[in-house]
Amino acid sequence: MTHTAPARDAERRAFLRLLAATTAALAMGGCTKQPVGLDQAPTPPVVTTPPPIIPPTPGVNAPPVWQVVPTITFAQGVASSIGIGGYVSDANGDSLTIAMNAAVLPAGVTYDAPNKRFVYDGVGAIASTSGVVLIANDGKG
Amino acid sequence: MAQTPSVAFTVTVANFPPTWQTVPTIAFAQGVASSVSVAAYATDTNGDPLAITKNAAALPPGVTYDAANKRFVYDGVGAVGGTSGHVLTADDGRP
Repeated sequence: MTHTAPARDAERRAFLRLLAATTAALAMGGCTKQPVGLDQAPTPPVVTTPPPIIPPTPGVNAPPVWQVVPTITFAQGVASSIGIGGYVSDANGDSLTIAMNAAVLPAGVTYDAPNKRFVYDGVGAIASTSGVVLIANDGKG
Repeated sequence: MAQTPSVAFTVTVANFPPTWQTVPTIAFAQGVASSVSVAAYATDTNGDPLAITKNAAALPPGVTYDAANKRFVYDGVGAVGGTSGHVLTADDGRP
């Protein structure tokens, strides 16, 4: 039992030396095969910045926001209505009331505030009114 | 109250001119008196009644344009023939 121990230790040490040498060689080989050298500038990664998402601040009310309202056109002689609710939004998700200023609309056209739309009776003559302004109110201070 | 006004815009009641679909070749069977209406090829958004007139291009013998009824009429007698360059004009009677 005891005389065999030094031989096994010697074998173990030799094996460990061989293993260390092999590992070092593999490491060196791995290094020399890397294509990126000091003289090559690494390609910077492409960083795309997503558009900022600004959530409504808790406890702070955001006012309603309008898109541009295009010209509202009715075909003379054809009764119809045109909704405008889609042109305004509220970041807080508040329900909005939309009032109209005092501009005088063409004959036969009315603003229907409860339904957020302009209504034409199909009878009024050809006419045009500019300077129409809608006011959105979210009911919050 | 949080109130936001829109940008000022315009509300208008307008006339729209008549619009045409493509008029296909108007074909009659030689020897068979008949008529082909063109009224449906012109429409008016306002629903205005339209007058439809034709240019001066000569029609085949036996074929006439009947403006009052917006149709081409063939007398069933005229010989085989074909003419091109016909243009119809729709008028809604508004400026």
